[in-house]
Amino acid sequence: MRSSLVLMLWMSLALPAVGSEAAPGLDLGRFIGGDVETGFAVADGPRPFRFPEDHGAHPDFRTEWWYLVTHLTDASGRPFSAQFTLFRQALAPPGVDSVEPTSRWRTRQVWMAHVALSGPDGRHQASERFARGELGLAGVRAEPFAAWLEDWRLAAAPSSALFPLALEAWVDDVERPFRLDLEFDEPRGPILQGDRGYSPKSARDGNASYYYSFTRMQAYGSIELDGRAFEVSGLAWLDREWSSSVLDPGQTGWDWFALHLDDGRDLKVFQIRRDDGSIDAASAGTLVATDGSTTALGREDFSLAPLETWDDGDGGSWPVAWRLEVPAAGVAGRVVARHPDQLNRLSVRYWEGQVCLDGPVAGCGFLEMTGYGSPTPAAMAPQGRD
Amino acid sequence: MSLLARAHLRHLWRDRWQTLLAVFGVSVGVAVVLAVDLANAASREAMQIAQRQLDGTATHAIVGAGERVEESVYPALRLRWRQGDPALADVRAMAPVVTAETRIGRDPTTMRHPLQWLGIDPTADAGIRAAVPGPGGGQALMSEPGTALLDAATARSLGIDPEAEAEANARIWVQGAGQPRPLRVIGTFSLGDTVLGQGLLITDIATAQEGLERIGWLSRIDLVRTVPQPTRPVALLLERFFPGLVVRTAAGEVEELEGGLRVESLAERAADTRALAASFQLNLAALGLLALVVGLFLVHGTLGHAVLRRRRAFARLRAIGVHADELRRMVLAEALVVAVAGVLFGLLLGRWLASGLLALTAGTLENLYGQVAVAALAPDPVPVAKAVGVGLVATVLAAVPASARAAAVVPAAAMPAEGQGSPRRRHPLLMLGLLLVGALALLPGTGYVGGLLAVAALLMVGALLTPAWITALLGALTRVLGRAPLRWRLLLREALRGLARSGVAGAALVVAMATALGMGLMVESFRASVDRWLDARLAAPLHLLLPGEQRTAPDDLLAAIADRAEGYVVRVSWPERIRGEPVRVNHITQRGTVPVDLGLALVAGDYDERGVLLSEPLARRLDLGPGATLPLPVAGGTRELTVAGVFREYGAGPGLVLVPEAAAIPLLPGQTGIEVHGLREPPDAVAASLAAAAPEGTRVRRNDELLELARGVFERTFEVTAVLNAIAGIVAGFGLFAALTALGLERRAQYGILRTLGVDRTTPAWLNFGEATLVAVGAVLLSLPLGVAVALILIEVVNVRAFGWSLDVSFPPWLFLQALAIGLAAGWAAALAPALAVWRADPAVLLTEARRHA
Repeated sequence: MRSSLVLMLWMSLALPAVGSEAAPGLDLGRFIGGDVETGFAVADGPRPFRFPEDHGAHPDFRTEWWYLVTHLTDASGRPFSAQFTLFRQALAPPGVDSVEPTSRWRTRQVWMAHVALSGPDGRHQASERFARGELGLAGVRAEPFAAWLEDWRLAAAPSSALFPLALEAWVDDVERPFRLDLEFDEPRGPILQGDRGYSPKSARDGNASYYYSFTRMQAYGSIELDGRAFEVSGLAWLDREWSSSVLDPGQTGWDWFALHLDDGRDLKVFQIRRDDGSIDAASAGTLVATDGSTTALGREDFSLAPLETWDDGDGGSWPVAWRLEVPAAGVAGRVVARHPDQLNRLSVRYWEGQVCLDGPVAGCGFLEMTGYGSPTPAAMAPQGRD
Repeated sequence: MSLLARAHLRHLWRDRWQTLLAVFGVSVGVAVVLAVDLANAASREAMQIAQRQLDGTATHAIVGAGERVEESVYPALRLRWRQGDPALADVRAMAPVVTAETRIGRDPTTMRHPLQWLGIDPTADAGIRAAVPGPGGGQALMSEPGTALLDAATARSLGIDPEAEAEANARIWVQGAGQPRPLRVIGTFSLGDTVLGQGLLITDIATAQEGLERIGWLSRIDLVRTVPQPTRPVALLLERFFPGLVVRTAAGEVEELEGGLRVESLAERAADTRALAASFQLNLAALGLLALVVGLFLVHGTLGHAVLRRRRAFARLRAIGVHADELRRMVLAEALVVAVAGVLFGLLLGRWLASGLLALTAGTLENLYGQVAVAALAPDPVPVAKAVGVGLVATVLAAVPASARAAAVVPAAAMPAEGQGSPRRRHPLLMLGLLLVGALALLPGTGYVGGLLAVAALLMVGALLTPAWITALLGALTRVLGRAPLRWRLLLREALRGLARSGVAGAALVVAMATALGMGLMVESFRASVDRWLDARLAAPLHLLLPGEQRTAPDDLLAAIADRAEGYVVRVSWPERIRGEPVRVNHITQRGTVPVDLGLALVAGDYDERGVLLSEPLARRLDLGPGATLPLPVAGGTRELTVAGVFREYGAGPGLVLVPEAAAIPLLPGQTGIEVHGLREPPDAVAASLAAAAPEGTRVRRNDELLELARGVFERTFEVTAVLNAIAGIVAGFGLFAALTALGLERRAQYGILRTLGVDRTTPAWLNFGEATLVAVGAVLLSLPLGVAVALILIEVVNVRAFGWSLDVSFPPWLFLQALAIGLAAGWAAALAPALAVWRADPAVLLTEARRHA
């Protein structure tokens, strides 16, 4: 699902360059037109997944990400939630390398990483970085697994191939610097999303991704905030997705829920909103049982209704309380954001934060929303320390 | 309206032509001052804009030996920074840069437009340079080799319309290393309205590395640091008020990193660029002030004489109770009216003149420093305020002596005008004081400003001396021509009597002529020195410039040269910085059966097998002489080399360090040139065979072509100077014209009497004309030694201090003859109209007019 987010990100990043002068070479039509650019590999149907290879990068597809969210508490019950995401974007299809690619800087891949943390007081902070795929500053290795951008790193712990996974990220270009030093183990998965890992995103052919997740991992470690270290533990969710497809022009945004239910099951539902106010038929979900077996949920199998909104002060109004019903899972309750402001004010704005579900089956997890506010803030935050 | 005010206005009206001339003098002076300032401000502003585009928010840069950094340093450094290395704690952003000066064109045969090629990494550069697109927009730059963004002004000058859709993806050719290679312009960006300085071409860092053949190398790593930059508001204001002044902060602390890398402040680097242009701007500013001074002579003369003519009126006014101070104020008020009118007109004139001057300046900058110039004047209040202030204050000050004279009129006095305000009034103390100031200004440590101050003092002494000098001259002539015919003696006496007025005009002429002559002599000395230098420097009949960057010339090419010539010199040169000074290191390898002459004129020290040679300007800036130790950055550290000698160098740009092969320094890749000596075959034959043996893209040039090119640049450089000189000369000519017209008017009664006594009409006209000639000859004779003195100060002090080069004094006689001719021509041109008027006039009219006038 998050492919759309990635595309919006890249599109928006192009905007500052457009300015009052001619757009320097960015062909927006290539993105918005919805056509899959020739030359890239396409997700066009179920495929066999091979591990550990598929933990690594698929450079022939246009976009790919390693998306980890975790909600934790410390010994005295203080809540934290954190995000680490590494995005890969191919700049050009494979096989169009120049005749004389002698510079080591000549690249086909650009990487972007986001790290965010919400602390016990509800303050949400996020940071982003970019790097080109050469000179070793960013990349992904399948085994032993490692995904990194500079010193932000999600990697297999020493002497393991994948789990336990360790996340290290030191963020000091925010008002209150923080450090994530977490480990993740006892994974549930890999869970293949959609149809055996093939996840259509619209009715159009090729608008689809390959998608698998580790929906539940035990998380533990330490978080340093304001110079204080907190020993924390909790649950985490890792999404892996790659595709070359793009959004349909009529699709304006989405609401994506990933919930760890208290009864041990995991629930993912997402809806894609259209510009006419309707919900796209490609909206779907997955219910993961405690044994890892999955039930696919179609558009008609769940309902989502916004209850309350939060104003971000820049004209964006984000639903931070929802009514969620999934009859097949026995879920019927309110999904409420732990804090209304979990907005990632980065090159593109999107809401990514912890929510909790009440009702007959309760649980906590993450909600991601896009398309409720201006996608690009007027002034782009320069990267680097501030 | 008060009686005084009416008298005052009536006078201004009655002498409207005189008043207009004074206004004109002020106008021209103000206009030139303003024009020079506006043009300088525009070029400075443009340079700053270009610098801002180039540096963005970056405050420092990490550089290595040869202005290059191995690229693997960057990721390692970036990781260290991210991991919190304390040495990099104040760094907020870090970005690699590959950059070089280059030329572009629409086709590979006309690579005319010089510009800066900036290779950046969009993923690291976002937020540093405004023109650089973010990683999203930069993806076409990154993914497609040979794509570029071009500044809109350069695009337009190449015939690419930035707005036109059809021109997107226009193909341009860029002089990378070696052969020109094509780039595709996929977008443009604005540098602002004024681009006087380099254009800017932005590509991905990979495209730059490939195009410039800098594979594996960065030019530098830019840093945005929070360390407080020296804020320099006072310095910047000073620089704006005094063009040509570059206030340097204390030499920026250069932090040494390991591996021969160092952190430099970008502001310091920019100051070097400013200093280069500033010494040039200073010359213009000095000439602008000269025009104003000459204009003020007009004011001084006009008002001074207006007072003389109204002595009777003033005496009457005093007799009816008008206080002396009121008369003083009245004259000053008149000056103020002249000043306001002159300044207003001067502002308009200056704005117009500035455009022309800017075009000339741009041409010079383009020739001197190889910069593209698309100049536009920006409204800038500072130069306007300065011109208004200087114009008003200077005009009123110029009227002070006249006002004092008005106040000194005693009520009863009604003496004839001309005897008063004696031309023999001398100012020995003032002159002595000025000479003292001039001498003090020449003391060491006063910089080139001191030299210019001395020139100014000398010129003022010359001006003060002029009336006395012409008096003495006329006295001597009177004695020599004691038995000459009456009309000769009459002429001499009339000329002597007229000096009260014509003396001031003569002084103006002296100042203008002495300056023009001084500048001319300096330029001639410069030209002669440059000629000799060029002849020696380009003595080798053939010069080869290899494409790209390398550490040596190909062996087979050297073998081919050895077959056809007695010897050769290989120069591998790369940019460097020594104690913050930009230099170019030249590694010299000499081979051949005969000792090869490097074509250097040593001003100190001697050749030494292992010692380095420094160009004279660099040696002065670094304050290093023979025997001193030069710390030369080399790959991985610094080498201490001994300075063997200092040689003459007149080239613009960085100082030169010549390192002989025996010094055994590790070479860096650089521009490689070969000078071929002692050809065994005709030059054209050798050139053809060497061109065939050389790598593709090698330029083979004959020395006569190079000489012609170099001299062309030199001529263009002094065009601006010549124009300003001419303006000062024209103003002085007008001064003389004004004085002679006034004399003619005053003498009308006298001429009328002469005519009624039966003297024919040619005599008065002859008197008028002859007087002009005498004053002009006197002025020119005085301006000759004065001009020589000015030239000597310019050569021995100003040039040495401003540019660091010494010149051979070369004073060709034709320049003196030319000055004499121009002075006489100016005098005659100014005298023609008044003399004709006298010749035409009817005696009766002359008499009645004269009576009315009195």
